[in-house]
Parts: sequence; C-alpha cells; structure tokens
Amino acid sequence: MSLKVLLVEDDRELRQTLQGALQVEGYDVTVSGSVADAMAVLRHSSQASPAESFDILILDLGLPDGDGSTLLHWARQHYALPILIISARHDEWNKVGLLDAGADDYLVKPFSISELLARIRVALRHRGTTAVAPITHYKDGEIEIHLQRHEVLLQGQAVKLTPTEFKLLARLVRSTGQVVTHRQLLLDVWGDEFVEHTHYLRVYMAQLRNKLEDNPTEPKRLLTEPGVGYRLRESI
Amino acid sequence: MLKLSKHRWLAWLIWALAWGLMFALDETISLGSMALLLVLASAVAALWSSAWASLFSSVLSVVLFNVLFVPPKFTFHVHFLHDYFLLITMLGVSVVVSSLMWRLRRAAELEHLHATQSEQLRSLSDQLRENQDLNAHAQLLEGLMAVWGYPQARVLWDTHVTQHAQAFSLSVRGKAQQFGVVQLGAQTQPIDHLEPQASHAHMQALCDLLGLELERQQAIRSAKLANEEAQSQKLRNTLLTAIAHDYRTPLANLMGAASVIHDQGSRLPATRVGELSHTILDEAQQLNRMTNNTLQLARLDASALDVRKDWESLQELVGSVIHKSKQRFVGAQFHIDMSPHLPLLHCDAILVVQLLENLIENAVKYSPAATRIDIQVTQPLADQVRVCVRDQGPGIPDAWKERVFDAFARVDTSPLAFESHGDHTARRGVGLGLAVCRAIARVHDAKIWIEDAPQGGTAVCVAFPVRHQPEVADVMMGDTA
Repeated sequence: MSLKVLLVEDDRELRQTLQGALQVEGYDVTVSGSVADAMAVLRHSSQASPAESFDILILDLGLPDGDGSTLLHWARQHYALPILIISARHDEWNKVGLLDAGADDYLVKPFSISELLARIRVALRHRGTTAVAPITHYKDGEIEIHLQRHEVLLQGQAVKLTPTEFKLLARLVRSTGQVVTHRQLLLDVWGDEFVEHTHYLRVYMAQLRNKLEDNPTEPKRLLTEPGVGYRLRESI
Repeated sequence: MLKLSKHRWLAWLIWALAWGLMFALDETISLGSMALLLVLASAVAALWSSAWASLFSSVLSVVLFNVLFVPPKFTFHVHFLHDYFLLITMLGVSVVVSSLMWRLRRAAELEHLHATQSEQLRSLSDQLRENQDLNAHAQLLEGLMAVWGYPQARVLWDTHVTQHAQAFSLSVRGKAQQFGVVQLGAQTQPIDHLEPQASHAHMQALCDLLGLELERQQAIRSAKLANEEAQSQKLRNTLLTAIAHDYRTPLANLMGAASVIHDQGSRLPATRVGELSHTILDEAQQLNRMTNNTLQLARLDASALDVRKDWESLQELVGSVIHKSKQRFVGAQFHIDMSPHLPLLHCDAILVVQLLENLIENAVKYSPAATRIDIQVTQPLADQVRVCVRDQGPGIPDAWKERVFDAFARVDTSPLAFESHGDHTARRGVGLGLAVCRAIARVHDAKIWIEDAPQGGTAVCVAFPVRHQPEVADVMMGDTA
C-alpha cells in the first residue's frame, strides 16, 4: 500500500508540481491550501480506519488563513506523524523555532524535488520513534557506532570519546539524517540551563570532528546547518 | 562696576590724608593753598566714589573748611570778603571737578561693560557652535545670567511654559519660532546700577544669540535630511534600474528554454530537453541568489536590528560553504588553508555564510574555468581573524578596488578589463554581491578589502574582530577520554 502524504501549500502552481512529482514516486497525495482545511482533513482521516491516516505532513508556513506554525502546534498535540516544513528564506529564524516546536525537518524554498524526496525518506524512517525502536546503530563507510555498546569504531579501531562527546554523538545518531537544532542538542546533552551556551556545541563538535572526520574542515558526516543546528549525514 | 564698592575706602583715605595734612600745616601755609589741597582731594576722591557721595563730600568739606580754618575759626562767619570768594570758588571748582571725574569714570566703566558684553556674546557664539547639546546650551546661558546677578535663572525648553511665563523671563527665540524661555528668578546682586535697561537688553541679546544658533542648527539638520533623502532616492533608482537589468538576463534565458520545451517538446531529442531543463535550473538558482542578495541588502540598509549574533565557529561556516560550493561549481578547485585553533566569532551565521558564498561565487565567476581558488583563514593578530578568497582571474584595477563594493558597480564596464575572457554570461549578476558583503561586514564591525593576489588574480579579504572568548566549563565530571 502506498504511503499517504498531506501536502499543505497555498500556491497552486507549486502544489500541483509537487503533487505530480510525489505521485510519480508512488505516494498517495492529498492536497490542502489552508490551515482550517488541513485540520479538517487530518481530523477526518484519523476518525476513519487507521489505514486512512496520513504518514507525513508537508507544511508551508505562509498560509492564507493563518501561520503554518498554528497547524504545526495543533498537529503535534494530536498526531504522531512526521512534519516537514517548507518555507521561504526570510523565515530563517521562525524555522528554528518550528524545529524546536516539534517539526521533523525543513526545506527552504526554492528547493529541488530530489531534496524534498530525500527529506521525506528520512522523515518516514524516523516515523513513530515511540513505536519503532529508536536508531541505535550507525554505519557509514569506515565508521560504525553502537550506542548500546557505547562503542565507536573508525576503520575497525575503537575511538575514545569523552562522556559529553559520546552523548552529543548519540543524540545526532538517534536523529540520523535529520537536522537537530542547537537548542535541542544543548538541552539533551547539557541540560536546560545550557540552552543559550551555543559555544559549548562549537567546541565539542570540533573535538568530535577531529576524532571522526578525515578532514575536520570539510566534514563528510557531521554536517553544519548554519544558524540552525547539526545533521549527521544518512549512510549511503 | 564692581570696582566702585571695592575701592571706596581709597576715597576715604584721600580725604583723611588731606585733612591730616591741613591740620599739620595750619598757620604755616596760606588759606588759599589749603583750599587748593581740598580741591585736589575732592577731585582724586571722586575717582572712587559715587556721584552723590563726591558731591556731598565736596560741599561738606567746604563747610568744614569754613568752620575749622577760615577766621573766625569754629564759626560759620566769614570776616573777609576775599574769603567768601575763596569759599565760593572752592565750592564751584570742587563740584565741577568731582562731577567731571565721576563722568569720566562712568564712561570708562561703561566702555568696560560693553567690552565685557561683546566678549560674552562672542564667546557664547563660539561655544554654541562647538556644542550641539541642548542641556549644555542651557548651562552656558544660565552661567552667563548668574554673572549678571541672576544665579537662579533657569532655561526651559518646553515651549508650553511660555504660556504661563513669569514676569521676569526672557524668551529664547529665532526669527521664525520660539524655542524656550529663561526664567530669571530673584536678582541677588544689584550690580547693574549703571544701566539696568542696557544689561537686560544684553541678556536678551544672549538669548537671541542662542535662539538664532538653534534655528541655524535646525536648518542644517533639515538640509542634511533633505540631502540624504535625495541620495537614497537616487540610490533606489539606480538599484531598481540595475535590478531590472540583472533580472532580465536570467529571465530571458528561462523563458527561452522553457518555451522551447513547451512548443517543440515532442520534436526535440531527449538530450536537448535535458540540456534545456538544466539551463532552467541554473537560471532559477541564479535568480534565487540574486533575490537573496537584493533582499539582504535592503534589510541590512534598513536596520541592523535583525542581526542575530551567536558564538560561531568559522571552521564550521567555511566548511559548510565549501561543501555547498563544491556541489555547485563542479570543476572548480578549492584549496582551503585554515589555521588550527581559531577563536570563535560572535556573528550572525546566516549572514557570514552569505558573505562567504558571495566571495566564492565571485572568485569562480571571474576566473578561467577549473582554476584554483584559495580560501585562507588565519589569525594574523590576537584580536583579528582574516578570511581571504583568492582567484586566478585577471585582477581588478586599483581604481576599482573601492568602487566594486558599491551596489551594481561593475568592473567590466571598463573596456580594458576582462576583454580576454570570452565567456560573458559567467560574469553577470555580480553587481550586488560585494555590496552585500560590505553591508554584512559592517554589521559585524569587520573590514573588507581587495588586494592583488601574489600570483596574479584578485584576493578579497575580510577581517573579523575577535571578542573575549566565552568560558567552557568542564561541566561533566571527569570528561576526559
């Protein structure tokens, strides 16, 4: 059975383009152009059989009857489905707030369809992290990480990490492929009194890269999302 | 004015000396000589006493002279007719001389007063010009009022006060408007006994001077504003013209490629459709970058308030820009030379990334295809981190090294530059990039400049200031590997 996508976007041209592209990829796409309509569609689908409920929500921020963030907060309270934000560039800081509020990932307009498909695949993989066992293992080329065994291997050799470095890496592994905001990382690794201490992240990320990247200046796995956070690249 | 009361004792001394001398010389010299001595004393004493005092003392001395020295002594009677003449002449001469002396002195005092007044006006005018602060102006004026005996004088700028102004107040006014009032308050030292009207007129003149100066400053300010408005209008027009021009080229290419696919799609070979859609993608990305730059420039020009600075690692920012650039400019060779242990920068990550992207984009555009682009990040000084992007292009003539930072300046308007490069389309759209870079550098107190790269080509460098680094406490106990 094909995966169900709810696409909320008010621009008709872009909506049709994306709908067509997603259908070509085999998704079952429902479109909506406003906050109120999207809420009704979500409510209706969840009341029907579980098979009818959506697998992912793709959400534009600027909607005619309200901000997309209203819908995000509402959907986060009622549903466990992954939410992907698509926004214009001037929403840069708004976007960070939405990620902190529970959005799974974001794309800045204009974007290519291949980027969108990649983000959808990652978001679906993390779908229902409560139901599915969380990701505890990462392998990409020469690097292998076992969270349960507290083990990081580079070319088969164990890499020694400090407890903080390991916690930071573990947080990124659990969200492999997704951006994790500065705030989320600081909160989960250091605690809530450290959410403003972005410089801790800079220092510890540099240490992690020195230990795990061939060339720390041009990281291949521990990627920077300037102004937003970090992303551990999906293994290919 | 003040000298008068201070030196009154000198007048008393003169009189005492004269009388002492007369008692000492009584019977030794003639009555006429003694009378001359008194006339002299009266004239000299008039130098330091007021008009009425010198007149009174002259008359009194003539009367006393009659009683004490003119026979018969100790009576008001006068025996001889010639003594009458002597006394009357003496009285006349004394009065005339003392009043002349008094007028002379008064003229000198008035001259001194006027000199003081004009000196005050001149120095006030100088001080007003040096300082633009209203409070400082008020203090100056209050200080001068105190000199004129009004230490409680207060300048009130609020023009509403003028409606219930007190009786003893002066207005601070220009030709066209009133700026405030000076409330004089009680006069403590009545020092303007010479010409009270004149000193009030002088205080009003001081107020008028301030009023005119305020009006002049106001006029300068509004002229400056009008000039700035005209400048920004001109800049806006230039920008609009240039934006329209810069947008038309990619739009024309987009339109061309899309319409070919639209009209002839079925008849075109698949490879041609692929090429055309590639063109469409490229041009759309180009338009996107130009839009971002244009918006950023407008935003940064409007206010620096939207800048969100945080502690950022330049290594990370450069790394992420290079990562993206390598995907975008396939074939360009990027060489990164980064000092280890660079300090953190307090900056807006998104803006700095945009700055770096613009520098790299320019370097790629202005170089022959597939040449080396050097990105060097160093810390030449303890308080400075420098990023230099070097290309191997034709370089920028000295005359243009500053001007390229102006919005929509273009070196290729010069007939000499870039003639050697055939690929014209690669160079368009540069008009805004460096202007955005400069605006971004400015909000970070960073410097940006262009120099000639050692092996030819252009180097654009940005020097960021390094702030005091934040502490990283070892919060995890035993956080060692």
